[in-house]
Amino acid sequence: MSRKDIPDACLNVGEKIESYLNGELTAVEQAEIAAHLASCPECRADLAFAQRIADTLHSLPQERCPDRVIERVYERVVPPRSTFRDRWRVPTWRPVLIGSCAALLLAVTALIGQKEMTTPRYAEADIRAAEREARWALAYIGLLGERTGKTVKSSVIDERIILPVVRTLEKSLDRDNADPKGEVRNAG
Amino acid sequence: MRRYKAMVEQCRHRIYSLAYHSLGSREEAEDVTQEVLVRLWQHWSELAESHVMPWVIRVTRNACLDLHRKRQTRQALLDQHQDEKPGMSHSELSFVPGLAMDQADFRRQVKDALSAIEDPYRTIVILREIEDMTYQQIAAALEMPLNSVKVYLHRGRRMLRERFLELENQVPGGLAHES
Repeated sequence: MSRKDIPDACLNVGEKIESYLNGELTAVEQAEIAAHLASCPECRADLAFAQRIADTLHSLPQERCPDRVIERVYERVVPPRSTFRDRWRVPTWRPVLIGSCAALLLAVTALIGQKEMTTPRYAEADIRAAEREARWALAYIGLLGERTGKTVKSSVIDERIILPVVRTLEKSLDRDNADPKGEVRNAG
Repeated sequence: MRRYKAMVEQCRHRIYSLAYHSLGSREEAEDVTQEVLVRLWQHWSELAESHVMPWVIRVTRNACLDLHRKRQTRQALLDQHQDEKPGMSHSELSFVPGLAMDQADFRRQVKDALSAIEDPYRTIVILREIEDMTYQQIAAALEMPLNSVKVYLHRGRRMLRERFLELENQVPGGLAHES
């Protein structure tokens, strides 16, 4: 039997069988097909087959992705965590560290100089030597920056290093000035 | 990175499941899942979080399509006459196909038939029948009108039934096997 020999009513059911199963037809269409199925064993067989496929499809589980897949993904997208030693080897960190030390030194020198105006405790030559070392360190940062192509923004040094140190020292000096024992000590 | 990892947990099974049911191969499904998640990381900054799941489904579907095309290239001769095959005659449908099969064999053949039908029918049948997504979610993921989703789904179910019968006729007394 070829397709053209199939009765129209059966062809109609064949077209709509899944929609019928899923209740997606209009009430009239549902009723028409139900009536045909009642009288056509071949279409009932088709319906049973379609029903079994639908049931089987619904019974297929949502597959679970194995953990090893995700591990491989993270290996590809997350760079390995570097150790302190690794980070130290990266040349861009050295100018930053040296810059920090130099800036700290400058700040301390400046504040000590300021303090010494009232309570001189350091020799002028020592202060000049400290300034020279700080300038040398800053020049070295510039040189390294040229070699590595990296720079440390002065605003970063100002905000992150100099200002906090200045504030800390200022507080310390204020405390010393306010402390009668400190006055006694300084006076002595 | 924390948000990315949370999203990976949310969509990893859906990606894998779609790929597995589409390709019928666990190994290929793993490769597809891996590639999709790496691509998700590469595009992470461009994607709004609410768009991630539809994006992921679209990329997974495309990856599966690529693999299907590669297979078709390898099996061009076998697939050449696919469109020439006549539809099932009524007499062939006059018994309940697969009646003699136990459920395990029947299920295997449904899976084979599913991975053998064309896209987008295959993807839509998987997303609707196995992944239990709504029509709206499928339409958003595949960027197609709602009505098109319904039409493709209707045809896809029918194609699945026909493909099942073709497979049954192709391998007398046996089944195309896959895990």
